[in-house]
Amino acid sequence: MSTAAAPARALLEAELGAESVREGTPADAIGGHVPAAVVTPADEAAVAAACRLAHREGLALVVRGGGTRQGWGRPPRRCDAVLHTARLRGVVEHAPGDLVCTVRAGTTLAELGEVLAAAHGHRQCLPLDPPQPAEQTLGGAVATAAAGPLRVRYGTARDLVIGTRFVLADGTVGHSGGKVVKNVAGYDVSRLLVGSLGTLAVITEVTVRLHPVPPARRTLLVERASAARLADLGDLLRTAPVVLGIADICWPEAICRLRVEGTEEAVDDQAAGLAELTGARLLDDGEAAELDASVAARPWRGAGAIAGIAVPRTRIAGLLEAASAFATEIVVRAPLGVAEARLPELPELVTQLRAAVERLGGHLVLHRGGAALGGVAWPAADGPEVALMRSLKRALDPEGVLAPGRALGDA
Amino acid sequence: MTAPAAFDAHNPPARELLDDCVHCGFCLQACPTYQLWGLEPDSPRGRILLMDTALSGGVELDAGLVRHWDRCLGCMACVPACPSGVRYDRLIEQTRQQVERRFRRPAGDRMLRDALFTLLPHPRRMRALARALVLYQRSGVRGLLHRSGVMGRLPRQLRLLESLAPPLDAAALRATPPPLLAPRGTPRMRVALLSGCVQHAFFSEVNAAAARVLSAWGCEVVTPAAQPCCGALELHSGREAAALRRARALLERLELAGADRIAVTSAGCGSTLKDYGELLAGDPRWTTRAARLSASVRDVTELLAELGDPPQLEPLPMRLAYHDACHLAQAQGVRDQPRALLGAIPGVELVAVAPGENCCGSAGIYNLVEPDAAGELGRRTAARLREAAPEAIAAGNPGCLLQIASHLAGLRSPLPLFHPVELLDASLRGADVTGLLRDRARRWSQVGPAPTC
Amino acid sequence: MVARLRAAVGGEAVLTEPAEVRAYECDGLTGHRAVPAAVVLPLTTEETAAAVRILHEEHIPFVPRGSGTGLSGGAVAITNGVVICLARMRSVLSVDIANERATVQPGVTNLAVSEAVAQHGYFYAPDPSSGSVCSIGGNVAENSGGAHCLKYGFTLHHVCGVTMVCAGGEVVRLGGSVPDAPGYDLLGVVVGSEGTLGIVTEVVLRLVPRPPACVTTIAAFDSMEAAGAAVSAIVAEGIVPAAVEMMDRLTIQAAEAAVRAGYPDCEALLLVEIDGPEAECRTVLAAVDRICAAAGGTGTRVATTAAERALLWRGRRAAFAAMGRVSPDYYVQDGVIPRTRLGPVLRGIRELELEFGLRVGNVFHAGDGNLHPLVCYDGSVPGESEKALELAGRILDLCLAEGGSITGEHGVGMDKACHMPRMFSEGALATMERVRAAFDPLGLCNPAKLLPTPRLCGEVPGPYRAHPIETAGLAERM
Repeated sequence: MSTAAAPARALLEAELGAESVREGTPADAIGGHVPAAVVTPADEAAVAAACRLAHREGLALVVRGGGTRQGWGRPPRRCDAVLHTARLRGVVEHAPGDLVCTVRAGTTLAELGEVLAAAHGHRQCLPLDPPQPAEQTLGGAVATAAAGPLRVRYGTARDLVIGTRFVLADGTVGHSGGKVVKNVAGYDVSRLLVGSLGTLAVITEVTVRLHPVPPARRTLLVERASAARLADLGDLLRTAPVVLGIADICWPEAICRLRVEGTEEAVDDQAAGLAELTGARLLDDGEAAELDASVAARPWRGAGAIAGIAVPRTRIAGLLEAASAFATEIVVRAPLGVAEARLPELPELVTQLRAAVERLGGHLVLHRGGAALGGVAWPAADGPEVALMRSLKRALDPEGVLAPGRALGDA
Repeated sequence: MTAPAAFDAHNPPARELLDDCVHCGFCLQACPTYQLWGLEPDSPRGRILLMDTALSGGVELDAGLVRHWDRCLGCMACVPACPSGVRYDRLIEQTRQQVERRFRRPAGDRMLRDALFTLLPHPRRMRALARALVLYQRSGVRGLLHRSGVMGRLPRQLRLLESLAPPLDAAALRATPPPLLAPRGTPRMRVALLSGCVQHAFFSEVNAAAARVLSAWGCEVVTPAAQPCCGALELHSGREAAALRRARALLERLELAGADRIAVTSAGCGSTLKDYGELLAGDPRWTTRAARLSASVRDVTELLAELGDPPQLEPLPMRLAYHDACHLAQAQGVRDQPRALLGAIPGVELVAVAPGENCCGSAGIYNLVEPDAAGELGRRTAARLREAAPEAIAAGNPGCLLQIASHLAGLRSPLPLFHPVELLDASLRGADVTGLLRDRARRWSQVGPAPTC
Repeated sequence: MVARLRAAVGGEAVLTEPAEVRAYECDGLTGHRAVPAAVVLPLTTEETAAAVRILHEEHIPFVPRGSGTGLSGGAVAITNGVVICLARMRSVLSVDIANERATVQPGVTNLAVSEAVAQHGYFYAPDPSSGSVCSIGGNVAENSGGAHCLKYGFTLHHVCGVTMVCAGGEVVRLGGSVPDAPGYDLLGVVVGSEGTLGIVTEVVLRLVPRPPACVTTIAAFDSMEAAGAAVSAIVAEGIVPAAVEMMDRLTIQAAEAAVRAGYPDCEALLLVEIDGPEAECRTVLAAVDRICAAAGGTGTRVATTAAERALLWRGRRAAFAAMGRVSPDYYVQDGVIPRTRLGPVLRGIRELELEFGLRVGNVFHAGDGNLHPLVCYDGSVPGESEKALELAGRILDLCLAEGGSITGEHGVGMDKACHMPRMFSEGALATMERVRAAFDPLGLCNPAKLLPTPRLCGEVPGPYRAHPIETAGLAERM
């Protein structure tokens, strides 16, 4: 089924026009494959046309947004063309009164943030804060189920997306959900696309639920704490009478950054209560900004593999212990037991950390460095669940057009 | 498919009452048999759906259908649970009448039912039985039968009956209320006390206590002699004609007492008396009289609460579990009054009992005709009561007390059981609590465990 | 087939007697009925899987069923098919407070979960009106919400993992007790799939600590529009209440007559609930009062004790049941609009009232734009029930024109499958068909639900009758 490079580019040019297609270069390589072409469709119809063509001609397409998370999953087996969402940009509709916003998939989180900030007098935001917001597109964030520290309060893309428009591998244009938060009509196909790594459909438009920007926030810091004390925070915070925005344990620094959110009148109450409960120190604005800068994008800054980890909250102490032994650094969202760790790209370390995490009743997936390490698979285990995933991939993409092999190895 | 009509034209379940049910399912969790088996045909809305189907000629009146109506306890827990106000009580009554008239039960079942109805609704026969039982329990015959294994070889229903035989002693049997008891203090009203068949035969001391308590609350209490059965058991079993006959007879008897209120100590009788107005509504000669009588009927605790202004109560320190009798709580809505009265006795601590299936499984003759379901419900109720770790149990219905006792049987320290008025009476008398609990526990410990198969 | 099923799950757990299977002919929506050939009542995942494997081999369609309280005909049997009723699987298997998880069987009722964890200061957040009877399995199938989903989210946000028997009888575990299970989020699409993708036999739920404080306030308005504007202003101020409910004059009067909650005599009533840290509640409550007053609200009344709160809610919950006092019959519609479009939609509903000569009571979950218009009619007047049904359908048109949805919580089921093409494009429906085929290639699992089929959509459903779950006061329909 493999098509020679030149025909792939020629076919795409014929279908979409030369202005939407350029030749692929080594800089465009994904998973070691240099694509014959990079397609930048102007709109959803052009995305559909590209997919139809690929489906018909047996081309493999890999969707690219900001390019910040192309390493997630396995390396695709083929990449005849990169489908770049750079021109699918901009906010389609922002309904401030409904706290809802519809955005084209190639819009970056930073751009969206500016539009929302500029919506005068509304003070709304999309509380989705993965690293690299200037490059990270919303479509990419949805496709990788990205999240940052704020997931403690607001969840991940899974919780914030209420509707999508998408193009299936054969060019079928579909949509799911809608512009209202409460909606149970039909299958929630959006949920399938969240975290699907671009292997089930090309996301073209996303409708998200917005949240009000909290009028006030206070940042607190637990310093020089033992692993046991930090781990206990998970349990202490469980029933603390506060609205917690962030609760990040950073290891090996052995600190925990805490943030409470609320009204100007009441937030100090919360902060005082939390300080008493946890022994944390309330930071002034300057200190808070300094702390935020120092932990921003942790643990993604720096070289090495990145692992996404989740363990039961009661096992955080064990996780910190394992991280001390096998990882360079780790950030744990304390109330959730969810963590990201950076570690040297050494297969034995990854294997050992993963085994430790599984002993704790959790799981580990490599987000970066998977290729070099021969892949800690996504998902790892084989079984009836994976058979079902394979069946789903086949149903939506029978010809294996979209990033073949990235999700399940063979499909 | 044209099946022979399941129901005849005489008073079938009324179409407009059936139509009130919109199948929402709010009754499911209230229904003890649905709780037991999780079966839709054994839920109130399922039974109603089957009545509807039978009425529209969609099914035959066969054993497979009748079984699901038979299994209904008649506990009426579904009635207050229903947001649409479906009159399930009326519907199941009407259906059972059809079944009794039109369905031929297997021989064994028929004989058992006939035998029960030859005995239960007849106060004199019951009283005679009670005296015989005293002898049976006292003479050692009972122990002999049990030890020798003869008991184990008897048919299950007989063994069940035996296990439910109330704990009697001759003194308790002699304790009947006087025909007339004067009020203490300022007279407030004249009250006629209903004897009840089982109550009169086996628990006449409850009636005696009720009379004393009412008198202490300022009532003149008249207890008419030779009261006929109220018809409750027959009514709940679909034996309409007999029930109506008894209802009319009792009505006439009670009217003669010329009382302001009729006080009842047995929940099943009370709810039936309150229904006389509706029951006899079809007969112009009786309509007004029945309605007037029904309006004057109160459970004894309901009446005491209504009167208010309680006399001086002496301490009776104990942890007490109160069990809601279905025909009191569900059918008459009397839940708070007995609790309030008992709670007003100094020293009485009402313990919380975990919520459960609502019904103990006694349900008139249900524990005799549906022993499996009744046994399981009894077991669960007893277990929940035991969990609350009370020193005594109170309930406003003799059937419930017997059922619970037989499922508590075998405990190392047997629990004493009371009717609420007995405790009020004991408190008024300033009885010694230790002796009270000990004597009662000893008596109830005679009740044997319910056979399981 | 029956013999094989009996061998697999035990004879007593397979019903085939005509009277018994008859009892399973419909769920909470009686307009659709069909009598199954048999009903299977498994006790375990293994029994369920064994039954499904047999049915799969024999190519016999089956319908999963919980308490049968659904309002869209999602559990209506298939003639000659089999109902797999999970009502007997009702154990709370484990509670892990430290990790805020409970693992339950699908037949456990929604309320039973909250009761099981109440002693620890926790609750299970989704609170559909039928909570005392509806099953967790059914909640998963319908992605149930409730009055408080504005703040707490839907079933989707509270189910961490499920064990599911697939249409071919394989057993899969989706999600888990820890977040971020690797792989496609199959759990995300199974929640809300109305029993068409498999049978859930075990559910891991997220538990939520009871908020430290909770206050409820009501405010009266001269018009529904003014009340709607107040809701918008509250939201614009950045306030996310736990619940915001709105009632119009007709429903206020009916509710007041039923339970005497002490509601003011007015055109529109807002009921706002705020929970969270105590100081936070106080300041937010003050803000809500100020906003309501600015929008023309009069006579706000705050309830701080549990008893006062319960009274205010009782009126709201009784609103539907009380409607029975005003009208012999009524149809409860379930549609969603963007909350800012309340004004135009209300005007549209008023025009429909005039056009059809029927009255419509309005009760809303105003916070999330979920409308439950009560179309009043008299079923004994020939043609009126059809008219009411048509009016209700036209209300859905209004919702769709504003970019809303044809169902916010009752589901599509059999009742609204034919409305799906009005909301979804061919491509969107084709995608859903493919998802279904991936899970159930033979189409045996709850067929003819959720997605439109030519057979189904050629038929007209039977007359609709009022439903007390929505209509009831004992129960809140949210």
